[in-house]
Amino acid sequence: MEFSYNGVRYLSSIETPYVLGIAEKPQAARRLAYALDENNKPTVKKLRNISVFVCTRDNNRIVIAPAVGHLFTLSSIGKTWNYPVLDYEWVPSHTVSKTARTKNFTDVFKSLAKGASNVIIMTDFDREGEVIGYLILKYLIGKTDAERMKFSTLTVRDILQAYDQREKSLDMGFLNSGLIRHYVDWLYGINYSRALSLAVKKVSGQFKTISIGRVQGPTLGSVVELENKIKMFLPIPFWTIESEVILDNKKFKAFYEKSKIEIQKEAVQIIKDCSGLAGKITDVSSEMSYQYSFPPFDLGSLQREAYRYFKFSPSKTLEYAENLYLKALISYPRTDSQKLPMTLGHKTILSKLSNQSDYSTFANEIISRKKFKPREGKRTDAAHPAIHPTGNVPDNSLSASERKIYDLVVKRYLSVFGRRAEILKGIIEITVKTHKFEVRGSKIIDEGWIKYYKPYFSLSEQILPDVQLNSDVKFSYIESKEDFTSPPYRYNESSLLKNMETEKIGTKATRAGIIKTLFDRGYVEGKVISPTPLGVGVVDVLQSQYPILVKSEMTRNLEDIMEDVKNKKTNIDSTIFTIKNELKDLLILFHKKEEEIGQSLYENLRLSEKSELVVLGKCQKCKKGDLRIIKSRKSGKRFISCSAYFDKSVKCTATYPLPNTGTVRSTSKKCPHDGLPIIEWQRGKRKYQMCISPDCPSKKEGDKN
Amino acid sequence: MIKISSKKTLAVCPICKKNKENSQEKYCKNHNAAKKLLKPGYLSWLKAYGSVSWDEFLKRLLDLEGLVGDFIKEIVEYEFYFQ
Ligand SMILES: [Zn+2]
Repeated sequence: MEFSYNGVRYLSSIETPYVLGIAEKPQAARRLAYALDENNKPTVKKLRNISVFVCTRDNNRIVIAPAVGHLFTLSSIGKTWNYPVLDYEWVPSHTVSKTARTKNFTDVFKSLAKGASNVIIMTDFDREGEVIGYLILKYLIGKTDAERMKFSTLTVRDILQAYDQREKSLDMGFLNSGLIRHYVDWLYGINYSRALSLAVKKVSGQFKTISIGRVQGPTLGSVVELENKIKMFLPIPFWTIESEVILDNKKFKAFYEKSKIEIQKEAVQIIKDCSGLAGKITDVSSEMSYQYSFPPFDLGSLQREAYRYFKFSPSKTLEYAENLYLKALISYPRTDSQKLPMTLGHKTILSKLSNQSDYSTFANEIISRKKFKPREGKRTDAAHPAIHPTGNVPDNSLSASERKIYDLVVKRYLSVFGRRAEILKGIIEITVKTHKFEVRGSKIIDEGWIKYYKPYFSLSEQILPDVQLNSDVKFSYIESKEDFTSPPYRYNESSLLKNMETEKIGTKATRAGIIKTLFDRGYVEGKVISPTPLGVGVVDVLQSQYPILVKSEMTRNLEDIMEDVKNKKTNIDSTIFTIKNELKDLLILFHKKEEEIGQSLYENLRLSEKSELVVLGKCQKCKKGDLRIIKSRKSGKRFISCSAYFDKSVKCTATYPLPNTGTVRSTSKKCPHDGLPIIEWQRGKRKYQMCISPDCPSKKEGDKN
Repeated sequence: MIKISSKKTLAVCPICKKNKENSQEKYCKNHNAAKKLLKPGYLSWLKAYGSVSWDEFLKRLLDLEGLVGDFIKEIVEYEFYFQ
């Protein structure tokens, strides 16, 4: 029985038996089905409002059903709220979380189990994909092994190849290394969340959830550590020499031989020696320099570049890249690889790209040069190549952000086929008495790959004039400038991600999410990331009483142990047993210090609550300070005051009253009358937006303006 | 809100009101560490300028908004200016 609607054939029931395909997402299921069906016309069966696809291939019926990522989650066995908790089980996510929208997907797999003669796991080829597929296989279909399709893009070519070359059974090392990551994160997460929260409760009687995951701890630790360096920074003076020469009637910046002078007297002497502003050209040299294309994108470098150029957060970039992958426009983004093997068929990809008007000129140029060997980077990944376009043409469904990421990926891909860039670098050396200055120039001889990668990278030129050796040169000025050493820069999301890579904490797939969690839990804030008082408070206590949670060693060790499981060097059960025992010992140690830890945590939490300030905007009175919501410690009444009140040179006394009931939120809007911030005030169902000034014309009765 | 039930009055840092780890010390860990940095900092300044007074050094540190760390700034303000 079937009927047709909008050109798609719908079934009212599915004939058995069939091969059951498990896809990771609905969109992936659709792509897999259209590629695998011999006529590229799979029939659709709606089960619990979810599209399940039936295709025919080699006289086999293949039914492909989607998950939505994980359908299962770990849950503790036993109901006490204490620690250690060492026993867990997998349960369907919808049974423990009200927000999980997984019930229908779970039910669909259950209903398809009986008719399945064989199962192929078609989830994304990485650890998470393996775990997602395996849990469905084991708990919903009731099997323990299945065939496995492995692909890096959702193009028809790759899907068919993955089907033909599918593995006859699951790679247990790979699967176990995925499972153990869940177990370990769960064990550390739940036990320390309980231990920390109970420690505070014991001292204060007050319950407050304090969580710090296995990987979040060291990440937050490094943010706080950097903040401490900044707060402890004592600037030291130094001097620089700045000068400009006139060559061929044009002005050029000249660099003094020492970029930094540590003693004032020396700087003064240099200026004295050079007071005549006259020098001689003592050397002219030039040298060819080469710049090679950057390696192909792995996930980390894509996230950094997207942050640098578009200011996308790493988690957003991953989200956009995943959408592009699901649309079969780029390869699987969760990769560590900087390799683009020849088997990807670069010539085909390039000729497909040449059909897209934005890229046709450069793609054709590369094709006509007939050099299809890309310049690769060092990093590798067992499962996937570097991120690259498939060549498929994007349709109109791409969002503006997805289009940006797509353009970046395509241009990076084109650039690795480009010639090296050739730049002629010239130096003119000018001597004044015993002091040497340099004028530096550069001329682009061949732009090479840079042409393909614009606007994401470009070179600037400074053409030097022809000059005679030993000729006289006039300076327009030579000055010394006092400066001070400056503190290190705070992290942004991109540099924090890089720091996690260097420290080897987390994995490519989890790092962006961990940073997001730190924001969500209120431990860090800002585009330029600084820890909140809460974040500092938690790290401070752990640093002195229980450093293991905020140092990266433990996390890194665990990563190594999990790697051993993957390479089948160790058995998963014995590894888990060891990890549980170590954790138990650590928790006993924690328990011994419980009161001290609880006491200092509670103190720090109290202090951090006091100092949580809401900034509304710039002060219009002094134009210097920030207007902030302050709560009087004594009266508990709140009002708005200017932060420059504490600045000795300003002492701004601007204050504005606030209603003492209801909640007040910042809106980031400004009042058209006086430029002051507009706040949102809400009590019960009533909600108003208003200017903070009681004298604002907008509040005058009868004024309709 | 829950009242804090500490019987012993904990010694707190006069600047940030955080608990002192060591009650012999005048300040908390951070402000103590900041204070210890002032001497070597002054010596670096002295070397750079040839001559600079201790008071001048502290006064100028307070002017280096955006560069000088908060802990350093707070200890200077507390010890030498607002006392
Ligand atoms: Zn202090």
